[in-house]
Amino acid sequence: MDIAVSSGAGVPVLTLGGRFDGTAAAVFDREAAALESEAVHWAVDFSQVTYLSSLGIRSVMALEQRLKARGGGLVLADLSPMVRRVLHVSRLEGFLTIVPTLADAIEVARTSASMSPAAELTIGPCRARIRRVAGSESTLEWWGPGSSDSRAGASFGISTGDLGVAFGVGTLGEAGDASLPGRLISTPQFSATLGAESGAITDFIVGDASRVVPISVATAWALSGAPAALVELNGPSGCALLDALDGLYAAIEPSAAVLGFIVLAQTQGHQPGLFAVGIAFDPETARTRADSYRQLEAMPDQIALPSGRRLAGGAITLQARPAIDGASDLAGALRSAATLATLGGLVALTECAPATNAVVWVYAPTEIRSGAAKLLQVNVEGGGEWRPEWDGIVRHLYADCRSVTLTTLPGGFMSSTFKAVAYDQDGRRTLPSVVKIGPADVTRREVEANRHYISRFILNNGTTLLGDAEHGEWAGLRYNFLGVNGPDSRLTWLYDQYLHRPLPDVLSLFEQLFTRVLKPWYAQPKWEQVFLFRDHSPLRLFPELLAAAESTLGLSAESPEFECRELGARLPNPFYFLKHEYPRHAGESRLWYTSVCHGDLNLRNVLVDERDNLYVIDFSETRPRNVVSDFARLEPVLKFEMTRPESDDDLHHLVVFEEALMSVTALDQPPPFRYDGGDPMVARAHAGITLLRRYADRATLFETDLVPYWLAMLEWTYPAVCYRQLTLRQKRYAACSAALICRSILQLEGRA
Amino acid sequence: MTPGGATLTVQIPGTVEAIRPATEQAEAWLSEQQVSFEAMYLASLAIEELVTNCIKYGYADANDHVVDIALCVEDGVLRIEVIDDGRPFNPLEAPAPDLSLPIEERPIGGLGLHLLRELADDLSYERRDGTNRLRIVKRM
Repeated sequence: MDIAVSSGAGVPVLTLGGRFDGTAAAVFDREAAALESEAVHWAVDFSQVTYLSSLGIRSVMALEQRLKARGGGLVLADLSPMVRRVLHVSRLEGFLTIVPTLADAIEVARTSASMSPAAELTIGPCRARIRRVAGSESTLEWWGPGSSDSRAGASFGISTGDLGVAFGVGTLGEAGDASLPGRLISTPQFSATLGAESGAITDFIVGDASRVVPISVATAWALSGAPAALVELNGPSGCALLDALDGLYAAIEPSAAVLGFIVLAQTQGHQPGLFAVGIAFDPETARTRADSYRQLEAMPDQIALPSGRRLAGGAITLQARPAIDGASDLAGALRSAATLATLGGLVALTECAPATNAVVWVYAPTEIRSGAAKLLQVNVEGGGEWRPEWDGIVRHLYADCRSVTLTTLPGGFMSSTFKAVAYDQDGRRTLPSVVKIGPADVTRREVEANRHYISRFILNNGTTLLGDAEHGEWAGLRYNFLGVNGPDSRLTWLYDQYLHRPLPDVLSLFEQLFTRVLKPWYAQPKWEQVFLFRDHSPLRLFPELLAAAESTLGLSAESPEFECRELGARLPNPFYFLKHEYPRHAGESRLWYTSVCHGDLNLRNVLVDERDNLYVIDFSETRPRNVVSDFARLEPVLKFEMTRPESDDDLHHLVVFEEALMSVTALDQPPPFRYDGGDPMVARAHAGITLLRRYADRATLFETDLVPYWLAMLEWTYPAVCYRQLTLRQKRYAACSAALICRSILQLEGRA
Repeated sequence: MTPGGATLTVQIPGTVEAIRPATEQAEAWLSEQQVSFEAMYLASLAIEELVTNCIKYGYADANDHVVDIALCVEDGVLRIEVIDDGRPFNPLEAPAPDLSLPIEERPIGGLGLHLLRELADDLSYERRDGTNRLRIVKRM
């Protein structure tokens, strides 16, 4: 494993790369011990870690413990889904601070490091140790009727992440569910509601579910940003919560109009713990402030504090004693203290048991604003499918923006793709980006492929994966295109270019794609054993293929022969070949070149801007395989999807064209052009195919075997029978093509 | 191992230095078999954790030992078999680690076996001919 030590904003940064196994753990321990640093808050960049074993985990935790003993800790950034899963299964997520990006990690470490030494104070029977955090800012957000014109209504369906740490009135789940709104307490880690009817019990959502289940908020007050101070409260005989908060207000920021408090406490009484959130304000001072401060008067169930200040909020009892010592990271403290097993019931602040030990995060909001105003506006144009839960995914992907307009890019088999124009919080238009939303497992595969095969190889097309987000069974990706023409970039599919540009331009785009953008893959082939029949079986992605051939074309997989009336010839039945010959040859291997291949390269996952820069996306099938796979995959696209047989006569001409394409004995031999029909796209396909085969020949150096190319081509010839957008004639054309390819394979393998 | 699927067998010395090359060889081969990332991860984890356990606790003498590893991919299922000649040790009977303890208080070895148990779909152990044989099944 590579370990690089650097520094960001005064924070030591460890950048790890590769396998974090036992061998690497020894190196890590050595490097960590050698790193002489005054700083006790370190950021660790995990973005390039491909593997983490228990020994690696032990090393991380050992360092975490050492730093913790000095009042600090690690902040881990950018964990791959697999590494995250391993930490989750090890039940370590709660002991560690984990953030999405390295920038976040540096920020968290920097904030933790900027806390001043503790000041001691006595409030009644309690001792308080107050540590102020320099340079922190926070905001009080309110949600309620009239707080947003565009999303007006009885309630807001928002995620716990959007809400922050909040109290108010609402329900769990989408608005419109039967349940009546009740008292609500929400944090990014869990949410709780208690219905107004007597005898109601508290409902919770916790952990991953809280990211997925929306909350309907009628009114709420929420704290966001960083705390101004951290307080440890200690009172063996018990601290009354209301008195303690009143005392802290006077001690920390007596002239403030409003302060926010988040409390995690060990308590007396039959429930050993407590989580509370409260907003206290000074009515006199608030009246001198901006109009937005009037909202404070509307907070429900206000309590008059001895000082004359007022307090509103709520609390949840905990059935297990929460860990208080050294807690500074609110999210981490909540993850370990508030689980389904420990959460008790929602109670009023006046009903809280006295605390023996507590940690209080004190917020000094500099602004009160409408929460709805910060919600990203998602506009969708151009029709196409849009599901309500995708809003949440897009909001997560564009958390740094104020509004985003998505325009549907047609195409996409498993996923929907959108061009995105986003504006940041100050209304500046950001670089154009692309959003892809699809099933969570496909998206997760793409994220992994990006780490392994794209980010380290394919840099020259400037496509960068900026983020991913999940929401239930869906997940989305945000791609940025760097270094191009700024906000006015106009992106279109290679598909549109192929249809409308002059042929030389199209060929030049192909050349750029294969000999420049993707060259780092194909130009570094490995010579090794491959199992072609198994690797190129179309049944993995299209398990229903044989049934589709039978139902749409009437071609059974049980008859060995195929009557090709277009050519007046008997050919091998390709579907028989797939069902019976593929399994027989699945164990056969040959030595052949492999390289990283896109796996599903077609005209609808390459984007082109107005300066002919190319951007390749959709990497969920990307992995090392037969080096000619991508070239051979495009050939069926050009033949079956880009031509239009309108009559049986057209079909006949196309099959004759196909037979000529299959008549070559080597890939570098230009296939004869034999076509008497009237579709101009056929000549275009011929030129494209000639070029593709020449590149494929170049990638295989001195090899002359055609079978690997034919099998790779078959892999994407068969599935045409399953494509909904193809006509019956196009499917029949593909079936004839498959039969001709099978004939050639049988001849070349000496089986015919 | 079932015949028919693609298989890879590797014999490595029971030494720390042998672990990394073995896991890399396994991953390279599994990557060609197009198994899921999780299955690939599990194979590496199995090799590393089991061989490490052997080296730390398994050998009662100072002789050279070997560990046999077999991987088989068939019908979307990865089977891993690890055979060592260390002293009898059934990982399935090893006590589960107390995951509520801070990491430094957890017993060594427990976490690795816990990860294997959690990530695998099926584990079986057999003591035969003086060897420990652990079979791991992962469906993809």
